[in-house]
Amino acid sequence: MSALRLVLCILLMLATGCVNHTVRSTQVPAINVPAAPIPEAFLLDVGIVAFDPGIDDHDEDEDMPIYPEVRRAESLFLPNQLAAALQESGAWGAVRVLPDESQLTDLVITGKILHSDGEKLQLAVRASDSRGVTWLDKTYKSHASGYAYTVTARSSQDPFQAIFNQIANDLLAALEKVELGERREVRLVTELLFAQSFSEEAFRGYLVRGSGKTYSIVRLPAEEDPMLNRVRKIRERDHLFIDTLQDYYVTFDELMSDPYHEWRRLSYEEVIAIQELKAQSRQQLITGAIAVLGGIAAQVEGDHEASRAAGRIAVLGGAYIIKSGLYKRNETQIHVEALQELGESMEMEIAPKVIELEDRTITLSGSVEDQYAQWRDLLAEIYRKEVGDLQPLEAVASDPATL
Amino acid sequence: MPNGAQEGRAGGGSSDETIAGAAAGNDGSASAAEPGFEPTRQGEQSLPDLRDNPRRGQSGPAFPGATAQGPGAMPPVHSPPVGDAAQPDATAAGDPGAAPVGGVGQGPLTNAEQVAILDAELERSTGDFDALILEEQAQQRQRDREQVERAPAEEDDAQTSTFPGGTASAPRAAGYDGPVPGGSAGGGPPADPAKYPPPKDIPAGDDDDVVARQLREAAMREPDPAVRERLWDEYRKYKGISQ
Repeated sequence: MSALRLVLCILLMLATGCVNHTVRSTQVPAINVPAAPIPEAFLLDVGIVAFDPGIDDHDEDEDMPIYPEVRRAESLFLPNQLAAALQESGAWGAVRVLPDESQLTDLVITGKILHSDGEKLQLAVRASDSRGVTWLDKTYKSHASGYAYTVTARSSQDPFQAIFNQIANDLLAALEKVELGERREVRLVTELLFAQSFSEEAFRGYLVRGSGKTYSIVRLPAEEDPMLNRVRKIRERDHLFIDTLQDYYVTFDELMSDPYHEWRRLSYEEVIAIQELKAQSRQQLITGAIAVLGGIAAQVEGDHEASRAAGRIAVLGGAYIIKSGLYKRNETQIHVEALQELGESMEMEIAPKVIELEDRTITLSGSVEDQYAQWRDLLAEIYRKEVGDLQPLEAVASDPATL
Repeated sequence: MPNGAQEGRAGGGSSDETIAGAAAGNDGSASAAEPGFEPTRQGEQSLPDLRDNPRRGQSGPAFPGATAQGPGAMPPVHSPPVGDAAQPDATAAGDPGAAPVGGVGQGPLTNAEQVAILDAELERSTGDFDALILEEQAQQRQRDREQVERAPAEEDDAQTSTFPGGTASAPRAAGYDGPVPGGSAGGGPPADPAKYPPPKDIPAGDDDDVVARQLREAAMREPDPAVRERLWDEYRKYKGISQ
């Protein structure tokens, strides 16, 4: 009798099946703002380095392919979205996207794209100030909802706006733990590091790097230090250069926005279809296997003909369900191929824009670097003239820990 | 939402991060937009002395290129007089090492005078840099304008875009407008439009997923009634509609 109950349970399970629902929240956290306006003297500038596209360590065997040109485009597009969220918080000075980490700024944000397919975005984000103190080191993940790709929703925000808002809020929370004096120190360290990058001899001995690889200020140059004033002039030019790059990025953002959004929308549909098919296939394979095993058990152990007949039905039903599960598994391949076509189309569309942006950035950076090299020579010459045959800071310079 | 662990400290207060001495206080008293620096204190040796002091004969050659001269020797005489020394044009452009070293009949330039020449060179080169950046910004604006002008034309050409979503405002076919085989063709109407209405037992496809929509569209385009019926059967099977 127990075998009959088992088979009946299995048949009931076959009849009802299970339905999976993925609940996707369309709620986007609001961007927090500081409790009180921050005085300008304590506003920290933020530099968001173009994200690591995450191409190098991608596993080729994974179901979901990635497209290098699309990822490269995303590595420039996503920082712009984050920059907009940070600016909206009103807690920061200038928020700029940087081509690489060599640019000195008060707070540097780096990121790596771990996953991006229109349905899920996963980013590893790290933020540290010029002293080397880490403010944030987190992985953020968000699933888009279908609603995010409707025309009306799209006009208002990015499908993954939640991630950018969350990062902005986390950074604000970290900022609020940093006292005003410390913020001032961060700004000073940035300026001294910049000064050192142009005239190491003149600004040696002002900073010390501790065992934790963080910088501390040992002393400061005089406010009217002529060398400091020269470096400040150069720094203004450096800001001008970075601001020009922002124009490049904004233009790229505008060019990329529509095709990229469309790619994400279509990719989203395919990814959802793949997920559903995989879930159904897995469920059917498990259910079918249980039905077959239960049916066999009923046939072997069944005391009555009814039990054995039910067992036979369960075995046949289970086999059919397994077949259906295998069919669904194969069906996912259709969507994987569709994703590949989408990715290749997007690459064709976006690659020339990425290449143009990179070319222009490299060309301008090259010209700027040439000029910076001349300025370094000039400042070194000025320093030698000003110091003459004095040997200042000899004792400090001899300390290898002192920069 | 975030599922990672925050490893870093916000702010922190270890000995590695503290401010040494009075370098930066926590009182927030700074008023300037730029960070402030401590004033010069008398007797401090940390800064160079900028007072004019010729120190004739005191040291070796001031610039590379003057090495043939012995200590205290007069430098070459190809330089303008001291009175013109601060003129930017008095130096070899872009080469600080080629700055003049002395005036005709007036002895070598003092260090302060040489610094003034180099400062003028710095000033000139920052002007050049500003011009370079401004020119680049002007070009960028020009590109933006051209981009705006091109945009309407691109919308017209959207049907030939390599990517289905090449232009967001491009018209799209009804129903599934997914990947186009070979990455070609845009959002124009399909060659064989859906013209065969679904059977009565087929519900509206509002809740169709991608596969169901593909089946539905294929069936609605299929001219052969037998094949069409098989497609509808597949659709019913997929959607779990009892026949």
